[in-house]
Amino acid sequence: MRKSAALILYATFSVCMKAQLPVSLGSAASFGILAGSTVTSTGATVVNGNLGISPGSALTGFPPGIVTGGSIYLADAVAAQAESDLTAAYNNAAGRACPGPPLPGDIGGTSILPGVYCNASSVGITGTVTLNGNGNPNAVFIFQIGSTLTTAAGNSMVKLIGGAVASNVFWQVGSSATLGTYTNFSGTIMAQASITANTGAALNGRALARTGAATFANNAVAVPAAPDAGPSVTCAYPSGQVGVAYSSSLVATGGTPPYSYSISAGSLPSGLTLNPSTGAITGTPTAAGSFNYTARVVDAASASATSSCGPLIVAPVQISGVPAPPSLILVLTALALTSVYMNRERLRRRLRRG
Amino acid sequence: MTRTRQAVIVSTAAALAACYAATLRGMFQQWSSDADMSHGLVVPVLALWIVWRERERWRALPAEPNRWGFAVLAAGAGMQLAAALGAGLFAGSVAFLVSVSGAVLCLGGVALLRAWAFPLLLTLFMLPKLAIVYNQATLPLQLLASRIAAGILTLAGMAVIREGNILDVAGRRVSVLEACNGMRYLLSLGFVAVVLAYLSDRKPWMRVALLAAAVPIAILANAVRVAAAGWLPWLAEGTPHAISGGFLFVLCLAMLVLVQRLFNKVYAHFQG
Repeated sequence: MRKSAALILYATFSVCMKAQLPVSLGSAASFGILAGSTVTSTGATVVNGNLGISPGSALTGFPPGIVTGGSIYLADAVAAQAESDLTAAYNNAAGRACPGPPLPGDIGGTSILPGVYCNASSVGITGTVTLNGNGNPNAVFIFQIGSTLTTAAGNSMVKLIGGAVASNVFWQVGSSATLGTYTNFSGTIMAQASITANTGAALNGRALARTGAATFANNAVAVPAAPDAGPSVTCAYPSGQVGVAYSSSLVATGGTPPYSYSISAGSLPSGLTLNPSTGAITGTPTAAGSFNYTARVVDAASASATSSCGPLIVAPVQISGVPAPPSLILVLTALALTSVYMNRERLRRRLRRG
Repeated sequence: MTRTRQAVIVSTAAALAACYAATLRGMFQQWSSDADMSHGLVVPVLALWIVWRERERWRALPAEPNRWGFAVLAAGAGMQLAAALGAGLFAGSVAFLVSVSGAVLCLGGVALLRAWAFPLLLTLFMLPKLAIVYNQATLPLQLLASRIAAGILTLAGMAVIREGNILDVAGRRVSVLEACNGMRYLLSLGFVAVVLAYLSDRKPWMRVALLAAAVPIAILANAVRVAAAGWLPWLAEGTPHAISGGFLFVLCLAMLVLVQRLFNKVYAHFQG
């Protein structure tokens, strides 16, 4: 509580001193994922925006990962320009004056007003950190973190209220950023080295890694809409399998956060449920089929948007993998048992003798 | 056995190994990499063990080299040439077995070949998959497994709809993949059936009878495994799937033993 109050007072003061302008990302703004060396995804990752790698070119996991509303650029001029613009943006964010005091090591549970915040070491988010725009739709939040940014596993969240929008939130990370499982994150991460998003993490923003790798596992990434744009919603991953845990997320952007999600038409596959406040769709499908649904998002100003999603195809159970132990194991087991069977009388006598 | 004869046998074996080195390497690679065929590693060991086990019997036979052996060797060489020209590993492997038989006939004669007939025939189980046959058999076996599994589930009182190799079990769809065609059970159980008959029964026809009985038992067992996976989804993947597969194979072996006893009873009845 004391930590929160101090931050609010400090931020109010800093806002009064000087309103911040957003960090200009240049051509990197259209990228949901940008990395210097490799991009790796396992499972159902959805990227709404461009995906680029430069100077590296190693892309793994697309497909099954999908890129919608954008293209993939590998070690080409577009990706190189985006990396160059990212470097400029990173330096710009890092060079903004930070009046202090430093951010606490864990900002989970705090409410933060617009401004520039810094910590020469590492910052964690356990639980929810609320970024309050204080009624200003152009409010800008810049976080300068010297080393690592880490969100705790299991539903950590960056919540935007009071007019704060994801496109005006910037996380400049001196080393690497890690989003814990099922984190609901907002803002543009600009990491000097690498970015890792663990299972189920959803990012209303960008994952931009200057020199290292960007690693994903069943994530949803949506490039944030311009501050004055109305709300929109990105659909969840379009396929699953009966009996196999499904995890994806609707991601809303634009309008005025926070958002409320719902299914306005059609239905999700049986076994899956939508979290109305985070957009996460999780569960284990119980029936195969093709499911069309309309995702609806309502923002804090009661503006709404819908997206026709689907078909979300749920494949039947597959009897997959090894159908039985290798024939060598089967045969050796059977021969051993045959040997016992052949020598059963002798074994019986020996057992009787003790 | 004279030293000259021993030298001839050793040099023949070395020549065969040298001529068929690439084929033997290919066979070993398939046994090592294909889980359906890994029992091939056991087959030559067991065949050699049987030869050793029967040594008293064949050592007593007089050595009567037979010139027809050269014809068989020539046939083997022709097949090996065809294999080298593109007929593939299967042809090369058959050529190897034909050549071994030719060498036995050349050096020991018809009586020795007859004495070694069973271990030589047993080595047929180490032949690599013949792709054309395997590919032709896969889909029918998949469909057969699906059909029998649907029947088993229906008998168990479950609502099942079958569309080809897809079973809809009470609203849950189960796809029977190519890997579940039952070929592994079929090959492994066939081999075990022949060995079981050899070890426990002196009647040569019993080997053929048990081999024939192994076919429906293996197909039925595979269908039971598919039905179990359809009924209990957790049995369809991973360790439980593998363990249930092994357990069912042991049951297959027990069924073979029962079938053998049944055959013996029927045989004894007709013998009076």
